[in-house]
Amino acid sequence: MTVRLEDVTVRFGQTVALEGLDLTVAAGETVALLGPSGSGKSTALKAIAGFVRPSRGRIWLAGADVTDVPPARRGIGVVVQQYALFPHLRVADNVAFGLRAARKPKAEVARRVAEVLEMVGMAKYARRYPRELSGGQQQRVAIARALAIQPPVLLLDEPLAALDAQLRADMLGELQKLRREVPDVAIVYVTHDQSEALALADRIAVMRDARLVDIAPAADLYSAPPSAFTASFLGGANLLPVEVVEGGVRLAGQTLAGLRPQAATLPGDAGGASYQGAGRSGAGGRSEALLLCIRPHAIKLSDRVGEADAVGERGEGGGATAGDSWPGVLVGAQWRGASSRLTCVIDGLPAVSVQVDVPTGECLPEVGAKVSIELPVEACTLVAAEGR
Amino acid sequence: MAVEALSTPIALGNQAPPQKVSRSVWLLPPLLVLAGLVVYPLVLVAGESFTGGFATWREVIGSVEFRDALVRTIQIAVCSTIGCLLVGTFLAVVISFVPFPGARVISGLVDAMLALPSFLVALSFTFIYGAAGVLGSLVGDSGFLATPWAVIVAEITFYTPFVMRPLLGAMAQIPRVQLDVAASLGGGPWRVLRQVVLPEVKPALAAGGGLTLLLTLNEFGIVLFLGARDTTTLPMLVHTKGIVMFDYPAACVIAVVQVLLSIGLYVALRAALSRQGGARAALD
Ligand SMILES: Nc1ncnc2c1ncn2[C@@H]1O[C@H](COP(=O)(O)OP(=O)(O)OP(=O)(O)O)[C@@H](O)[C@H]1O
Ligand SMILES: [Mg+2]
Repeated sequence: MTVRLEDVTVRFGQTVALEGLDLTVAAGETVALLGPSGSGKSTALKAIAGFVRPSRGRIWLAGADVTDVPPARRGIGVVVQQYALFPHLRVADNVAFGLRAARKPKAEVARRVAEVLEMVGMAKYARRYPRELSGGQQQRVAIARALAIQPPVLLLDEPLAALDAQLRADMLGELQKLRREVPDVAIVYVTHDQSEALALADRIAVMRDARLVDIAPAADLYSAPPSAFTASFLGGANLLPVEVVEGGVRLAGQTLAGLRPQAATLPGDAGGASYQGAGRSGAGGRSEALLLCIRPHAIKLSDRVGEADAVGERGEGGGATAGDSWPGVLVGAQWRGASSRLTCVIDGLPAVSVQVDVPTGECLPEVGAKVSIELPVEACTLVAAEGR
Repeated sequence: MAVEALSTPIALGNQAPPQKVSRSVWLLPPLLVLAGLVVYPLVLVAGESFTGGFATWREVIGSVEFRDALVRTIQIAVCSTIGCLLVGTFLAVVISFVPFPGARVISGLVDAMLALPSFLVALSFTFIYGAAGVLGSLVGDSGFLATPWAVIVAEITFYTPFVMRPLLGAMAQIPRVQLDVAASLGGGPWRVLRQVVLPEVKPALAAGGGLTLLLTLNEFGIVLFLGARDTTTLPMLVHTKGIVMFDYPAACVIAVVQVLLSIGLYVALRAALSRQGGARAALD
């Protein structure tokens, strides 16, 4: 069943919780809503579920306008952020609620309840009351309750937020399996967690300040983020100020050859909603502020032990340092298990720290050491800076 | 640090006895006042009921008049309480969950109703249903006011806010999102009410209902004001015997029965409520 939102705006008094959201989720598609806290993700979900009435815009389900249809007649499965289990019903009765409301035969209710509880790994808690469960267990019951009615549209509001890493991975696997088993269900999946979004979503919608910033297939959004906000929010990209020059871009006085601003990032036809011209531009807006975007794991670091006086050696066109490398200093290191997160500063760009991920096992320079920072041009993209 | 830690229990041990004494000292004045103002008159009443020995008791308890009044009292109290629970629940649900402008005002009016004296309702009933009243002059004197039903309707009118007040409080505590989810699972209003709302407000319902039962059992003003012929309740009988017929011992016997009835009901309610609370605490 296709879900379509058209210019949906939700206001709570003076607060605009959602502004002009246009979104289509096709049958069988999973769209992840990703965004910082308070960006309107839950509100968008509530509007689709019918819990809040949009102050503007329409909502369509399978081609029918449901803007004024009450939640009970939308047939949508919802897992809300607060779980909202019914405290006076046992786990099994919570899960059976929707089935009983649909007047399913007793045997079928029992079979289906056992099935979904098994799926979320809560079968042995069927006789418990919600208050006798941990947060993560409650969350799984809430998922089971929504799945039990086999809804054509599933709305999940941070459904794995309360689970530990292991359980989260398991449940993520279950959800992926569910998608294969019920191919026609349309899923809107709200999350803070980009790895969940990347694992599950066909498309990712990035939200910010009640607006949709970018929406694109997960891989595209990751490899070529259309806006600076998306680049840093999804995957925590480094954003370095550059200027466009003949044959490439100029970063900290050194040219990175072969990188051209794409059409989308050019001012004028900037599709990204976040793009606002930074002024100060010359003819045709060519010198608009641009940011070079590169993922922390794509950067290569190497020691500069041999170089006696790096600052002196660095000439105007990048004399001693090899092609795409910049001299800098390592200012911090954080071990994260499988990798280490290093923080560097490029000489001449003291205000911008560069995050670099180095797999564990590679030998690391000392904090305070002079390093050479290599930015492979194929891993770089350009995004427009935000004029805020 | 270690010395301090060691000395703490010793200091506490030294302070404990005087604390106990001072606590009972604080309890003394209210207990004295209670004894003087409540227990002593009750003892007097009980004593008065035995002035003729057990003869008065046997005579009063054995009388048809008394038994009729007892049955009537219980009938009226139970019917009124059930009526209050039904009407109160309905109104509380509407005020809490059906969005309409002025819900706040109405909920404020409920509080105001609690402050009014009960005979006011009876008085207004005579204006509405009495021979000279609004309805009376339209359809003629139906004799409605003379029946126990008039008392029951009046008591429901007056005591419904006593049920609504705790209910409104309890319903405000139910997270809206729970009702939203219940609705999105396809639950109709009746199912949501029965399976989600009512179980959550059951303690409030029990408290409001219990209070109403106690109050209607002892209601005097409404019965007196409506002056229904067929409607003699225990408090009315006490009034008739004591004030009209100057038969103090008989009045005191009935009064003692009334007090025992109230205390018995109160104890039973407390037991029921604490058992409910205990079960919840055990689960929490
Ligand atoms: N019932 C409400 N009344 C007033 N303001 C609200 C209400 N619900 C949400 N808001 C506001 O709307 C904005 C968006 O809220 P929303 O719950 O959609 O955020 P979110 O993206 O889900 O955040 P989170 O990730 O923290 O759950 C917030 O600024 C919030 O304060
Ligand atoms: Mg939210």
